[in-house]
Amino acid sequence: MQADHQKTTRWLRLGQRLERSGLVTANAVDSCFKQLGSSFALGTPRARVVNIVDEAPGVRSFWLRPNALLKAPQPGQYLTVIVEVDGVRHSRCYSVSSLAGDLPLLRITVKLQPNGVVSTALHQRLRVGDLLDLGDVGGALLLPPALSAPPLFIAAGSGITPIRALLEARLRRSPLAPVTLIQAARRYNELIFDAELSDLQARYPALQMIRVISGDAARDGDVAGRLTPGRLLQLLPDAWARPLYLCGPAAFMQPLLEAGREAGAELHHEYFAPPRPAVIESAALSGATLTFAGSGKTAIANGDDSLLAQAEAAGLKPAYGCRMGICNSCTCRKSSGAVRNLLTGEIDDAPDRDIRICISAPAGDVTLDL
Amino acid sequence: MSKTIHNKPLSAIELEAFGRELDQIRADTVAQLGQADVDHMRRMIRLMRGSEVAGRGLLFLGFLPPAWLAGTALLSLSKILDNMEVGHNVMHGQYEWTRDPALKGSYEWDTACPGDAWRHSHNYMHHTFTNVVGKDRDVGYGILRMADDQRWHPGFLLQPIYAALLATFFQWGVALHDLELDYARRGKKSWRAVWRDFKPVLRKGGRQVAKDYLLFPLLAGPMFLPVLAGNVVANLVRNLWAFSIIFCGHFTEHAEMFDASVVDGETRGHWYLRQLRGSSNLEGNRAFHILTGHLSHQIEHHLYPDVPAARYPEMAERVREVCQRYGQHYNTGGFWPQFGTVWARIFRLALPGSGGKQPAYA
Repeated sequence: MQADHQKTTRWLRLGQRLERSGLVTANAVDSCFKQLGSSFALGTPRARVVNIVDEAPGVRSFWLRPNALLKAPQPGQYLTVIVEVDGVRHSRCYSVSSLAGDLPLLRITVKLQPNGVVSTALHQRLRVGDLLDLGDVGGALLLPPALSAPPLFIAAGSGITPIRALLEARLRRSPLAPVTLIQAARRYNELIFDAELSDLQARYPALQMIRVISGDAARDGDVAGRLTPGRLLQLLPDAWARPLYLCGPAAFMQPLLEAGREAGAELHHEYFAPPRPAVIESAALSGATLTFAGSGKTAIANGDDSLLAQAEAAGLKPAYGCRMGICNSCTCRKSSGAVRNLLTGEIDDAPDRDIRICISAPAGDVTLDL
Repeated sequence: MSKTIHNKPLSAIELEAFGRELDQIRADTVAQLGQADVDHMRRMIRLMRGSEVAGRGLLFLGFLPPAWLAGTALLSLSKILDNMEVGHNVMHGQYEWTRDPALKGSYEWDTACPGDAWRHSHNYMHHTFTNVVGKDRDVGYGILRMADDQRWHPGFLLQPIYAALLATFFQWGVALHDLELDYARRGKKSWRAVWRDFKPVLRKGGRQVAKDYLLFPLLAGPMFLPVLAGNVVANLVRNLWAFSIIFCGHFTEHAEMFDASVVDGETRGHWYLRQLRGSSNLEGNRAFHILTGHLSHQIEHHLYPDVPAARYPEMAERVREVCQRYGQHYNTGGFWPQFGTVWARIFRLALPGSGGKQPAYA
């Protein structure tokens, strides 16, 4: 395994040197290798699917062997998966639910979302042996070197994915220190990694596990109902005094986070989907802000003028060309916010999109990289 | 060949309706963009790379005449695809919607012209001010008189020779185009600015020369001559082809030129009409269209520059029908007849006057 990795990096270094000379482009080489069915690449992190496991109804794990270009994720971090659906590349972040001991393999666990473009594509199309394009590794849900008190991990639904990695990392580091995991689900068959966690509990007696089931009848030792802040304190009166790691649907996390903040607790959490920006009709657009992240300026947004005109009114000098949406000279990155295409009326509210500012008007708060 | 073209004058309301119908064609096509479009471009890229590798490989055996012919032909094909179907279309941002980093508008093509310079002079200047004399520098490229409104001077008498030279060295003509040397000569642009713009051309052009005329011949060792000859000929073939197709786009007999006043307060309908009247199409089969990078559909390209070019043939049917209903001439013809009228224009305007001044579009 070690020798294999070294061989890959030697070819990688050679390839990167060739690329710097201008003789080949990374894109050309990467697509050639992909064509040949290899995960080797000069610029694109890529992985081969080596195993697929169904964890629960609608929840599927993919075991991946990445190429040398992927930065190794820390426990609790996510990796970005890029999938092409109907010609368009979509990227989504999935927490790595595998452990240090599983390297070089990584596991992501994907829950099928009802209208999810990427989750549907992954569930329906990805097979063992396929190659998957990857993006950045990231995430701030990390375990610090030392904790002030026994940590409390709370996970609901697919929120268990980063929590699982954090939990095991903690236990490996300090096998005798007490740790608590609260896993919440609606039904028993929705509990992900049930067997693995029971196994973990058997290996580490210091691990206290509490299951909270809101839908099915709770079994012996498990707690019935939903995990509200009040319920949490009933189960663990010292909950707010411990470092808390939360992950789950926004509706599950929000009440706990609010109560925790009020109590001054040490909170670590991660949202899987950022809340979608509000889309406001231009007539009603009042008080919405236009933020120019690159120059640190802000302005009141109006819904009728193009972002280009509004940037110029704010004193910026963005690059422009035809000013009618044809030449792409004014294309810049919208980091967040909703915009309306002045030619087609279409709304774009996704984060991190390149837009033509000469034909886009704000439809809410907008942040541009200008 | 000369027939009188009648374009029905359109009222403001008709012009607006004309614009909306053309907008609808665009909206309908954009709504359908999907996997098939991306797959087509990827196929073209594979064909381009494959023919380059095969072509250059065969040229190493170029001391055998059949290998030299086949190698040069394949390398020419690769360069033509890179310039036309792949380079020109991807650099227009036609595939930005895929979010594929390999298909971004910042794609760098395999010619001496730096991508950024071309994007400025072409995507912005040429497509916004199409055929406007004095603003669209593609009208004559600063060295030819292609519009009646361009003032004549004796230097133009030799323009058939300039045109032939431009055609032969077209990749360098395109590379130097954005330097705006004609403006510098007239004092409209500072020579310092010209030098600033020249540096990337020197870099890119230098790289191209090193690659085609030094590196690959040297790799062949003692058999360098066939490789060098093959590379020279392939570049020449690409230059002549690109020049011919591009000149057929705006300089055929009935392609109109416009006065600068046209651009002030131009509505979308007006803009569409100017693009239509300033462009001309070429008839041909599917392979022909691909080799031209779909610039055989210059009209559709000018109406919809950022729509993937492979869609132009199907859009053309609808565009043609709209033009017919609004009484507008749809300029199209076979390659040789259209190309003949381009050379007729070059010779005609080499002489003073024009034999019938074209009225500025009103």
